[in-house]
Amino acid sequence: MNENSFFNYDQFMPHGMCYLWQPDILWASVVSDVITALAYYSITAAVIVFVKKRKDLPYPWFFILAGSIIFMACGTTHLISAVVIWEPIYGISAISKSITAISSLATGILIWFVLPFFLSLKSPSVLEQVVLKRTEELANSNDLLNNEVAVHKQAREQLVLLKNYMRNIIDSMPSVLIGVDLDSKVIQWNYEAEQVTGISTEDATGQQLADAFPSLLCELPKVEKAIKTRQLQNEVKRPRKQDGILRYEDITIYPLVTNGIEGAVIRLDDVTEQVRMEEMMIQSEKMLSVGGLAAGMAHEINNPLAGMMQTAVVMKNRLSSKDMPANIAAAEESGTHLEAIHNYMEARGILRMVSDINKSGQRVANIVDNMLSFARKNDSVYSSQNLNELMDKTLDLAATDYDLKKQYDFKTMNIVKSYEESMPLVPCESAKIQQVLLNILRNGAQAMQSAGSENATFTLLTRYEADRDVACLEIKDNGPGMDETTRKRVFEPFFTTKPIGEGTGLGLSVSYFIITENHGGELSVVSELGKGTSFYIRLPLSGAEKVA
Amino acid sequence: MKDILILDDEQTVRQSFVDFFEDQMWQTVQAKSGEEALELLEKGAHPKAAIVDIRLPGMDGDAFIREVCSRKYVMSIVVCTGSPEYEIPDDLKALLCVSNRVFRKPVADFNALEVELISTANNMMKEAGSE
Repeated sequence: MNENSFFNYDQFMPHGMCYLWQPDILWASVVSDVITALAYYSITAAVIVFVKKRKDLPYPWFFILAGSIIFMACGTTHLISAVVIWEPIYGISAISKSITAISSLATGILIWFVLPFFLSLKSPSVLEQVVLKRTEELANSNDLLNNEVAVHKQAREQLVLLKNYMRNIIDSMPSVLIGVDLDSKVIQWNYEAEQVTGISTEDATGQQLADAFPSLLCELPKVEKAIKTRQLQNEVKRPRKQDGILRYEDITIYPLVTNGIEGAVIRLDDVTEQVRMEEMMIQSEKMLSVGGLAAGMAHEINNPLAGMMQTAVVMKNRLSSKDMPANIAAAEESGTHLEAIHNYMEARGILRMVSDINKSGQRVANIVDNMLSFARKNDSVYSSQNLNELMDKTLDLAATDYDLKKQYDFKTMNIVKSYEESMPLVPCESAKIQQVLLNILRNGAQAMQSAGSENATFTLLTRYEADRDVACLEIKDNGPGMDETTRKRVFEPFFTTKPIGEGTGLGLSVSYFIITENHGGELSVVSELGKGTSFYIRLPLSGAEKVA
Repeated sequence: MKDILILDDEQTVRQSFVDFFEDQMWQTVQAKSGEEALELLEKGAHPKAAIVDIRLPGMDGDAFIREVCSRKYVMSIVVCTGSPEYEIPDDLKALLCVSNRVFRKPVADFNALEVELISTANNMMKEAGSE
């Protein structure tokens, strides 16, 4: 007989014997074991799938141990129980039970160690509450955030609005306003700056000031000084040449001292017109005082002049009048006779000399008189004048005007008159209008003479323009005419085409002032190179509405 | 005999008037101020005509003419001045003895001056005779 070993089960009886092969008990037992085993395997598989899928599961090894090994072992043990009904493999059954026992024991011990952790796990209902609470909190903070965003958005809108408003203010300033930072880089550039330089704000921003606005290059030290000393720097009436024209500018540099902003603002004002007006005022002030002086001087000059000229007249009488009794008597007393004296005078040119004294004296008298024609106070009131007569009077005056006569050869110039016969009377200051006419004649004569115009002619036209109720006087010359630039600037104070020292550049601008400001009229010029020049003086019959 | 008073403070001017009128057979008296001229009249000078300057030391020409009229001296007067803005005051314009034509110095045409003096005198006589 073979000895039974652990895996040698020949000598054992199948377990069915214990049931005496009674089928009901036997099958009930076998079927139960098999079902249980299958169930355990199913659980094992489920546990493995669960552990594999749930990567976040804590202690996965515990589940592998507790789940797979225990259920696997239990299942196998039950399966073997079914087998041993017929095959007495009790050894294998024992091993299976042992594995089950060991793994169950290990799980039984380990479970106490992991228990606190599983206890700490929240149940789904608690979790749900937590989630609800959290959601609520989240919703609250979301609301807060939304509010914040709304406030922020509003603030930004206001900021944009404010920025536009500021931009508008800066742009509507008539001055050039340029903001620079510490490195003299442009950070602000207003509309006027765009206009003056022709450089847009976009292009100028970020550029060096000296590049964007070259004429401000020499102001850079002042900008630095303003920033350094935090004190305003300025320069008034800074002269600058632009397209050959002298212009004046006031420059003010404001340091920016507000916290967080450093740099300066440069303000540039074109004061050319003001400067020119000031100069013109000073000039007319001077001319007025000369006028006043002339009136006083006239008396002082006229008296010695009278002494000279009147004596010369008497002298001529005594030297040449042959029938004057006193002359005859004096000649006889001197042992001669008038005929001899007269012959001597003729031979020596004495009478011519006396006549020269008179002529020269007469010229002085005329100069004094002409000077006074602008200084006479009693003429400064408005009187009704006929432009035809006024023009004729002025021509007489021009004929004796020293400058016109000697320098410009006025006598040789033709005068063509085309007067409207029944010109209405115009209220005006005749002396001032004459001054204007003389100025225009002088300019025309000068232009025609210097250009060597042949057959130099002034054409004088008067007419009444009924539609505007103005009297119009046109002075036309056939001189060289003017180019566009000259024509545009002809009334500008101190603009002159004559060499330095010959013209003040004031004549026509004073004329313009007299016609437009004093008389509420209109002084205009039409000219083209090579086609002569026409000046139009229009005076309202209603008189000056705005007398300066 | 034609007598004429020359009133002018400027010596050379006065002398030229005197010389001219003497050549034209006038008897002249001259004065360099209104006060001096009045004194001469008081002393018995009785010119028929006078040439009167306006700007004078002391009383001016206008005041002198008024004084002459108020003292009933009879003479034709022509004003002769170097002041360009001078105009005869209205009260003097109304007087027959004063010519309305003012002669400005320098006087270029002495003959016109003489003619004016005579015509003013004649005018004065005519009016006086018609009264």
